[in-house]
Amino acid sequence: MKLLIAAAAAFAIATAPYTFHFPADHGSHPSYQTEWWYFTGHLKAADGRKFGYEVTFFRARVRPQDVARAQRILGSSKWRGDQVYAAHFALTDQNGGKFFHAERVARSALGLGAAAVGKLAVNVDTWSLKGFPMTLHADDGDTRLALTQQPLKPPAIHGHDGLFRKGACASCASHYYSFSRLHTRGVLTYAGKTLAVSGTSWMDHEFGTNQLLSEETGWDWMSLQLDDGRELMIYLFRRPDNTIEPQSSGSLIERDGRVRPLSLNQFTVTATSRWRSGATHALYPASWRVRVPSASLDLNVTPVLANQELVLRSSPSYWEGATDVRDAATNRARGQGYVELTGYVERVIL
Amino acid sequence: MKALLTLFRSLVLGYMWQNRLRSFVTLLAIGLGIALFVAIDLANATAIASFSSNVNIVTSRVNLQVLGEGRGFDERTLLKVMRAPDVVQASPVIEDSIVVGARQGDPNSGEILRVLGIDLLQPLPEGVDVRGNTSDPYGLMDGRGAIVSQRVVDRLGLHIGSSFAALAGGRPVTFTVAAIVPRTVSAADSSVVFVDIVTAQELFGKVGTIDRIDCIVAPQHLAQVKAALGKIVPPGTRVVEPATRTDEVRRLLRSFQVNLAAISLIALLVGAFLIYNTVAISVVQRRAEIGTLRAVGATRRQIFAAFLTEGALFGVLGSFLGLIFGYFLARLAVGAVTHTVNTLYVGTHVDRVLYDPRLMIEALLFGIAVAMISAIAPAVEAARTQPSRVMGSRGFEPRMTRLAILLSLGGLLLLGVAYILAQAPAIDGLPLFGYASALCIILGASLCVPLGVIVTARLLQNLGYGFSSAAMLAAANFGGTPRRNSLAIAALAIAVAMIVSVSVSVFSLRATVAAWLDQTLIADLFVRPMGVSGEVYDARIPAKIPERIRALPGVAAVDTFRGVEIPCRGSLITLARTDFRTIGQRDWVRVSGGADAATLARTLPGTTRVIVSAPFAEKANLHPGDALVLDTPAGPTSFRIAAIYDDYSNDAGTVMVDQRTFNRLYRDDSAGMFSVYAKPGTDLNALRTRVIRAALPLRVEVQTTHDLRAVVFAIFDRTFLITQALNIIAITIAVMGVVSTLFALVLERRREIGVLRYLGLTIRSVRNMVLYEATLIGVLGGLFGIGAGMLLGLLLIYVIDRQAFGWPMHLHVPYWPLAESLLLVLIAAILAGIYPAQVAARIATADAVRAE
Repeated sequence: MKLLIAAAAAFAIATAPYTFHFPADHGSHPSYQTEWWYFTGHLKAADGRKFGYEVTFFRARVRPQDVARAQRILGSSKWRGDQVYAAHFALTDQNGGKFFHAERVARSALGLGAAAVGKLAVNVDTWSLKGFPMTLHADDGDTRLALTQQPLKPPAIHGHDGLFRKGACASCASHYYSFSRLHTRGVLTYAGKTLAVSGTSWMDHEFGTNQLLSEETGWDWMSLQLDDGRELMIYLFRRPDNTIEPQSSGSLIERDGRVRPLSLNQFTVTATSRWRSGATHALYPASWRVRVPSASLDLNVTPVLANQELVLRSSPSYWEGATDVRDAATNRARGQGYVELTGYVERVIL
Repeated sequence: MKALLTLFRSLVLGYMWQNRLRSFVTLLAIGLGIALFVAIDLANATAIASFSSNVNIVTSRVNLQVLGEGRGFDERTLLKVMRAPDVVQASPVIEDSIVVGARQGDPNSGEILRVLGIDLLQPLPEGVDVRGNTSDPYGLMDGRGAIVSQRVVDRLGLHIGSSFAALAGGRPVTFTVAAIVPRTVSAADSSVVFVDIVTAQELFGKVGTIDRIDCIVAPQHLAQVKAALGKIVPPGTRVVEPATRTDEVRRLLRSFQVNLAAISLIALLVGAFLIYNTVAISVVQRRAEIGTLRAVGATRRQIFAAFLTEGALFGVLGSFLGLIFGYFLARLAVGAVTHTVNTLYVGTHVDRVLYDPRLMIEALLFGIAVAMISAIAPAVEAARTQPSRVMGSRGFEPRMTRLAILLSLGGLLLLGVAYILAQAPAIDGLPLFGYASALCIILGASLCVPLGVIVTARLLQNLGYGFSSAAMLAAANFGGTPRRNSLAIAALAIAVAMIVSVSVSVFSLRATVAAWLDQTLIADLFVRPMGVSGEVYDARIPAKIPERIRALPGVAAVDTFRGVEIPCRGSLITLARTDFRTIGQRDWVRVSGGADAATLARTLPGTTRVIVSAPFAEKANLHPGDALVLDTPAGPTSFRIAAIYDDYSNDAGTVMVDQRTFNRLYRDDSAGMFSVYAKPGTDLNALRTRVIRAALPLRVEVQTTHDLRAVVFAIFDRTFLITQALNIIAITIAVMGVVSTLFALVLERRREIGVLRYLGLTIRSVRNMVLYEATLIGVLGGLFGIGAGMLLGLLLIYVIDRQAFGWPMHLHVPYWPLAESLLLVLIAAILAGIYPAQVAARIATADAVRAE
C-alpha cells in the first residue's frame, strides 16, 4: 500500500452513483487509482483441522499518465508502466496456533502482474484469480492454496446507488460490492501435507481514488457470516483522536440477498480488549462487542488467534484475522467472521 | 623461572634501555617490514572485498546467479528462472556505470559510479527507506530516480529530491535522488547507485535484456537447481554461485598481489638481518657479562633463552609498531592498489580499509617468528660462552677467513641452485620457483659478503702505503670485525639489489611498451565515450557514429573496436572485435607468432580464426593452430588461433575476432571506441573539433596519439609508484642498519680509540676513521647490491614477470637513474657514519687509559 501513494487529478474518481454491470465489473477498472479483490474465509480439512485464509490482489496506478507517450519520450522498456500489482496471502492454522503470510509485488512486464478489464482475471507472479467458475491460487515455498468459489448469493452492493462513502470530501468514496457468502472447495498444501478443504468465504471488490480524508489514519473492517443465513459488514474509519468518521457505515445482507445499508447510528462496535504486536509494537483492539438493535444482534467477536498480523516489507503492515462470533447474552456460537485493522503501524493513504 | 626472569631483566631489558637508540632503530626496522606486509595484504583484501560486496549488496542470501557473459540476455529468461522448482526468489539485475563530474579534455576528471538496475518495487535492502517520498520515487513514469550512497550524496552536495548530472555511456542524463543508502548498508563499496530496471534498460540501451539474475534457492537443492537452470538459460549465459565470479576476479589480480607480497617479504628479510645484527652485537658486547653469569651458575639453556627472548621482544614490540604503521600505510596503499586494480582490471570504489583481524594476527605472529629465528644463531653463540673466559677485554671475533671461504662456497652453490630454479615453469600461473630462485640469489650473495670484506680489507692494507693513518686504521678495523660488517653490508646489499632489480625490470618493461606503442599507436585520433576509462571497450557507441565520422572531410579511415569480458579457464578475458582487413595496411597490431599480417588480412575476415594476445598465450599455453572454445550468445563456439600478437595493455588476455564474425555471434555492431586516420596534411586540432561535433549527442573524448601515449605512461608510472615506495622503505631500513652497526663498533672499541688518542691520533682522524669505515660499508654494499640486483633483474624480466603477467620483454638498463640511486645509497651510508663518528670523537683519552 506504500505503492498506492499518489496525488493527482486525472484519475477516475468515485463521486457519482454507479451502476454495476456484471460480469464485466468483476474485472479491473484501471483508470481508478486503487482497486482490490479481497478473499477471506474459513476452511475445514477432512481430518477436522480448521484454517482461516486471506488472499488479496491489489492494483495501484502510479500516476495518471499516458504510458505510450512516456515510452515515446523516455524509452521502451517493458518494465515501464503506470500499474503496480501486489498480493498478500495469509493462513491461520487454528489448531496449531500458527500464522503464516507472504507477499508479492509485480508490474506488467513479462506478464508478472495483470488485471483484465471486462472479466475476472488477475494475477501477481504465480498467484491468480480467475472467473467464472471462480478459482483462486496462491503459493509460497511449500505452502499452497488452490480454491474454487461458488457464490451462494448475488453480489451485495454497499452504500447508496453504487457509491460507498468513506469521509466528508467529494472523492471520499469508492465503488464496492461483496460476494458475502461463497461456498469454497479446494486443496491446501501446508506443513508437508496436502489436504482437501471446504468452507465458506467472503469476497470484496472495491475501487476508487483519494478515498480517505487526510485526518483518517486507517480503518477497522469486519465481515460476519451468521448461522441464520444473514451477513453483516461494518467499515469504520478512524481519526487520530480515535473517534470514528461519521460517514462510516455498514451493510446487513438478508437471507435472500437483499442489502440493508446501516448508518453509524444504527450499530455500535466496542473494543473489549487489546493486543500488542511483538513485531511492530502496534497496539491493536483484540475483541469486540457488536450491537445492531434493528436486526436484534448483540454479538461478541473474538479472534481465533491473537497474532494474525501481516508484517510486510513493501506495504504497511496490518492485522487481518479469523474470528469467532458468539451471542453476547448466551455465549452460543452464532457464526464466523474476519476482521481487518489498518493504520495501527503507519498511516494508510488511499 | 624466577632466575630466568632476573637474568632477562639484567641481561636484556637493562641493556636494551642503555642502547635505546639502537634498540629503537631495530624496532623501527622490523616495524616497517611488518607494516609493509600488513598494508599490502589489507589493501588487496579490501580491493577484493569491495568487488564481492557489490554482488551481495541487495541481499546476502543470493546463492546462485545467472550471468550473461559480456552481453545481456533476453529478459524473458527471468520468467523461466522464476518458475523453476526450488527457486525461492529470482531478481533481474542490470550492471553498468555512469560518470559524475567529468570534464571535456580531462580523462581523469570524473568519478565512475557503478549502476545496478534492479526491480525497485521489490523489497529494498534493509535500512534503505523511501517512505515519505514523492508519489513516484523511482521514476516509473517520467523521472530518473536513483538511490545513492551517503558518501556520494555528501560529495556531490545532494539531498533527497535534488538532481545531479551524469554521463551514461557518454550521454548526458539527470538523476533525482529518491533515497539514500546509509553507510551501514553500503559496506565497502559505496560507489554503487541503484536505479529502477526501467531507467537502467532505457539509459544503457538494454531494453529487453538483463545482465544477470540473482537467485535465492533452497540451499539443500542448490546443486540440482544449478543443473536445472543450466538447461533452460540461453547460450552465452552461465549459472554460477556468487563466489565463482569473485574467484575469477581474485585470479585476475593474483599475479599483481603475489608480486607485491614478494617485495614486502624482501623488506621484512632486511629487517630480519637487522635483528640478527642487533642481537649478535649485544652478545659480543656482553661476552664478559655472560661469562660472569655463567661463572655464578647461569646455565647455557638460561643464557640461550634470555637472548632468544630478546629477539622475541624485538619481534613483539616491532610487530605491534608494524601493525600501527601498517594501519595507516594501508590507507595510502589501498588508494594506490585500487587505482591500479581499477585501471588494469575491474572498476570498484573503496572508501575505507577493511581491517581483517585474522590478517593482523597472522602478521604479528609472522613478525615474532622471523625475529626469533633471526635471534637463534646469536643466542646459541651466547650460550657457548665459557665461564672461565671471565674478563675478555675485547669481544674478539674468531678468525673468520676459513669460515668466510666456506660461506662463499655455500653462496656460490645457492646461486647455482637459483639458476636451476629459474629454469622451472610456473605452477598454476604463479612463478613460485622464480620466487625461490630470487631468495637463493639474495642469500647466496649475502653469504659471499664476508669473504668480500676480508679480501677488501687485505687489499687495502697491502696497497695502502699512500693512505692516511685514519684510512689504514679503518681498513684494519673493517677486516678485524668481518662478521658484524658483513651483516650491515648484506642488509644494505639486499636493499640495493631490490632497487636495482625493480628499476631494471620496470625500465625494461617501460622501454618495451614504448617500442610497442610506437608500432601500434599509428592512428591520429582515438575516440571513446567521455568518462569511460582506458581499456574498457564495453561502452556502446552506435555504429552510425563512426560511419558519420568516416564521411568527414580529412578522414582517411576509421577503425572500430569493441570488447566483451567473458570467462575462460577460471579467469576473465576480453573478446575483442576488429577489422582484420586493415591489419596489413595500418599495422595496428604487432604479430609475434604464427601467420604474418598480410596472410591474416587475406584469410581471417569472416572466419572464426582469431589472434590471441601474448600474455594469454603464455599463461594458457596456447600456440598458433590450437583450438579455443568460448561461450558466446550463439552457444559454445570453437575458434582457431591463427597468430599471437604483442599486448602490454593488460595481462588478463585478449582474443581478437573479425568484426563480421563478432557481429554474427553477438548481433551487435556498436563500438566501444574507434580510431581515426587523417588524410596527410589535415589539421588535427580542427579535425578533433569536427569529430566531437559529429558525435553529438554522444559526448566523446578525443585523444591524439601523443595524448594517448601520455595517458598510457601516466597509468604505467602510477602502477609502479607503489614499487618505488617499497624501494625507499627498504633502503631506509638498510641505512638504519649501517648506523646501528657502526655505533656498536665504536662503543666496542672505546678503549682502543682512547689508546689511539693517547698515542696522538687527532679527533679529526678518529672521526675520519669511522667515516671511512662507513664508506667501505656503503661501497661494498653497493657493489654486492648491484651484482645481486642485476641477477634479480634478469630473473624478473625473463622468468618472474613473464610467468606472472605473460609480458615478453628485453633487458634495458637505466644507467643514469641507477647510478644516481647508487650514489644516493653511498651518501646515505656515509651520512649514517656521522653520528657514530661524533660519538667516537668524544671518547675521552683519560677514561680509556684508566681502563687500560
